[in-house]
Amino acid sequence: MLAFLARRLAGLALVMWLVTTLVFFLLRFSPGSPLFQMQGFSTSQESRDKLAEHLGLDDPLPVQYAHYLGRLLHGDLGRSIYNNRTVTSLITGPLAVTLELALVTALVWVAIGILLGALAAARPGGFLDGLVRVGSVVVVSIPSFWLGVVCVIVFGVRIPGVLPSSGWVPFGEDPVEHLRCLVLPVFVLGLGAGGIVARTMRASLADALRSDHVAYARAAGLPERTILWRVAARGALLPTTTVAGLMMGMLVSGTVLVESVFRIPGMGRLTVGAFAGQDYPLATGCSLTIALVFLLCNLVADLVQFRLDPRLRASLTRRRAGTAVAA
Amino acid sequence: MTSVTVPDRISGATPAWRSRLRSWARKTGRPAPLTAAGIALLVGFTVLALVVPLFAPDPRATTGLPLESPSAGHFMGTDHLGRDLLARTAAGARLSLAVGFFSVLLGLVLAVPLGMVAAYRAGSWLDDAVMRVLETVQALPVFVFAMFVIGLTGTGSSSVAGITLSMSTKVVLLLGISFLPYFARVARAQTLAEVHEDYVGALRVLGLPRRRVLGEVLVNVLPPVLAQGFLWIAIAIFAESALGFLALGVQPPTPTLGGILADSGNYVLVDAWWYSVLPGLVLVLAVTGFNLVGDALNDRIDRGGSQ
Amino acid sequence: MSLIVIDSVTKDFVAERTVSDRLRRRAAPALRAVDDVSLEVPAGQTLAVVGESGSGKSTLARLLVGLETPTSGRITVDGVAMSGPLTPAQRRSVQIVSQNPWSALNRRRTIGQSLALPLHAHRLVAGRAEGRARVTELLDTVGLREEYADRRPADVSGGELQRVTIARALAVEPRVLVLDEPTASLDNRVKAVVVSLLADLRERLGLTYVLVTHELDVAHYVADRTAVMYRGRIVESGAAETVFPSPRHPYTRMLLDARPQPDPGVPSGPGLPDPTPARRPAAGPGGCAFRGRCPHAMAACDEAVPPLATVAPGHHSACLLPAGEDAALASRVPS
Ligand SMILES: Nc1ncnc2c1ncn2[C@@H]1O[C@H](COP(=O)(O)OP(=O)(O)OP(=O)(O)O)[C@@H](O)[C@H]1O
Ligand SMILES: [Mg+2]
Repeated sequence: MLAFLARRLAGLALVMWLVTTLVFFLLRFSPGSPLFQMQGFSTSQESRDKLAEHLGLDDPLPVQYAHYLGRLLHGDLGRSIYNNRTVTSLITGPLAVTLELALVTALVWVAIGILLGALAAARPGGFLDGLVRVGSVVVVSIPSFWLGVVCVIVFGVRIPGVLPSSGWVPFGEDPVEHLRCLVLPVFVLGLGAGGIVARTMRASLADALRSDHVAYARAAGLPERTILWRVAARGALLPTTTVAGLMMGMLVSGTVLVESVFRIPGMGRLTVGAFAGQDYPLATGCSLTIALVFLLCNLVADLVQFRLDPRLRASLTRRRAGTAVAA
Repeated sequence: MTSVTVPDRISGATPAWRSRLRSWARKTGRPAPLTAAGIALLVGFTVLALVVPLFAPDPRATTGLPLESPSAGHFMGTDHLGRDLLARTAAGARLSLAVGFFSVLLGLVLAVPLGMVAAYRAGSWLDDAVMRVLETVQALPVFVFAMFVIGLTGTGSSSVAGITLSMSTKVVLLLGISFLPYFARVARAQTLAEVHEDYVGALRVLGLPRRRVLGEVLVNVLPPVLAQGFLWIAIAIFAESALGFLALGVQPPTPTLGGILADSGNYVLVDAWWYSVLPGLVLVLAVTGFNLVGDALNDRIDRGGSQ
Repeated sequence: MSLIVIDSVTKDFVAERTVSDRLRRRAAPALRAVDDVSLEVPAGQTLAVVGESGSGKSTLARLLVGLETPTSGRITVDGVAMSGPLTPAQRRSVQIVSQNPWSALNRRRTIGQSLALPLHAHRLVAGRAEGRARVTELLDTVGLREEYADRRPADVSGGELQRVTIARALAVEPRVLVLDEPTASLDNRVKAVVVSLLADLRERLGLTYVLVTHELDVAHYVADRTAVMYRGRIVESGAAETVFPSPRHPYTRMLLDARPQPDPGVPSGPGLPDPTPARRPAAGPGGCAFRGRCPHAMAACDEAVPPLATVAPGHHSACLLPAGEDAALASRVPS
């Protein structure tokens, strides 16, 4: 386990370095503009020169790159060009909002998905089975931003006052209102993901129920209920948790749409705003943070899978295996 | 007598492709109800995207009053500038379909060779390097990529190395590249399973040139990858509209499904429900269609059909 | 000189060196699949290589057709080294038929397409019509009707499919066929048909066979010469008509005893105790590899690997057991 973790962490560090390099050079080769395209902001030639010197733009490229990496290693993402606050301090608040949103969404919808999927598989051909089969496809096909707009119409216009359809109240200010604020975004953000979880659970539980393992438990006279929840569900949870873990990373980048519909001050809106205002230090910091969160989520998904799947553990002790593909 | 000979002569005159098609139809049988529904949705979306623009009014012209509700004159009503929503939705659908198709195609063209090479060199530094680079591309969400591209090249056409790229081409490039890691992984896994089959060794022993052997492997790698690709058209259409919604895709005045929905968001308070609901429904039904048919294709291939 | 010469061939499979291997400056563990094997097969003859699962038979077969490169030693066919660069004509001269015909044919191609592929690649036929005619001829050679050309592997039975893989190997007019357990996936009745087809083809086309199998009855039926393999080494070799009735190595005897008896009335032998562990270090402690399972193991067996010694003209065995005792033991074996 430790060796596996160490190898995965090394891989993560390598990929993070590649992401940083990519971002650095993408900015550097922007046509006709110096780093972080600041000329639009500081108008006079004099102040532009001062800024360039201040940012080390007159150094040769490799030196700039080395400085950039060096500062990054110390957690220094630079300062916003607007208000001189550090990027790190600007990111923490929105990051917490986005992570909370994604985490709550994942927890709620994985639970709902597993329950629905299991109930569907328990009675093949039943009402719930049909609902999950059809519903899961429809539900993943609903764009979250559109569903958000529809929710705003319903809750903001048709039945105002039932649930807040816009804005964000921090937990510290009013815990109850905070939770009420979460309801619609969590519903919109996770609906499709819930469909995927339900569908995966249904399919893998149906497989598990056909396995020799279950046939044996039946022959041994275990009650059907025990078989479903104790014997079969155990095998079916592995693919389901894998899908759920990979989804978490997607949810984080998916929040950008939901945040923009419900006007939630999260990472997505911060990033869009930073790019729109050409605040490139902030934009870069946001991009790197989002990439890191995505990679960490994948890592956790892999670790969970590694813990749960003895076959994988055996094969990985010597050879590295490709990461599971989930689409 | 004649009733026997006439069909005989007809079947004798039937071109080979028709009898092939008929035997294929017999073998595949009637599609499952869900798949049939998916096919119907796709046909509907394609008609909307390709045929409706021929008859509809100019999607950029003001042809009515602002925010007219659906009527015989405007089946889907009008938008805030009095433009026909059906025409705008159809034009947006056409763009979505084109972007979806071409971005997946681009992703596949780049990913399949990459995945196959990585699988052939499985466990080597080359495989490792390819996989790390793919993870790098995966780690940055599409919208972040899009903002970099727009930040660097603007939202209009731009020319790179003498080639003029329109914004829709840039969206295709953007989506194609961000799909690449997912496609390459499927191609790699599929190739990895395939190269252990005995026929690969047998063909080498028979003295077939390397490229012919790869070709034989490719006929087995391609079907599952293409089925996945079909499913990804749904994701591409979704992503294109999401970029449009965030104003990161093709820009106004060109109508896009995402752009229409973003505009409609400003008029929810005046209760113009059709403005956001109807174009959104088109998007949902189209994506559902691609998902249903894509699932059916994947199921068929998973069951190990020889066709 | 013999057509096929295998000269002290060794094949190690080296696992990938992990980071921890590198940190400890340790070589990755190697697995010796084939260990110092020397054999010769004269033209027109059949050599059967027998041994239990994991003894390295398939690796030897893959070495023979050039799919693996020897770690040391050399394999030549008609004087041409199989591991080096080969001209198309040399490449064609040795072909392989493997155990699992479903895996050996491309499942998305019709049988006709699979058979035509090597014909066109080597320009053995001019044009489609000639190719089609030659495919029909090849199918006929292995006793299949023309209609099979349009079927896909999924629609054909195992025995018929194995005949197709034989036909494909014959398409390039080879001199040597390496048969890696060609009948292992077939049931008994079909097995007999394929074996007699192979025997028949050898006579008609003047082929030389290397037949790898764990089925001693098949080996007995087809082979002129036999080599018994245990953990990568040849422990006994000789003419089939001497090795099968009077085996000299205890391992060969064990194999013969473990053979399923055709008559249920006759009690079968003690069978094979202690199946071979899947992985073992290449540089294990010296001594006879079989001594752990050998009923006659002696102190001398621990000291060195017993060399192949001539026990009778053309009959070799790698066992230290004195000849007299050996003969006495041999008489116990029911034949
Ligand atoms: N490509 C490879 N990489 C690593 N080890 C291998 C490889 N091929 C074979 N081996 C190992 O070499 C040994 C001999 O394998 P081989 O397939 O030659 O045995 P076999 O006698 O054909 O067995 P069977 O009757 O099961 O086919 C086995 O321990 C196997 O695990
Ligand atoms: Mg074998």
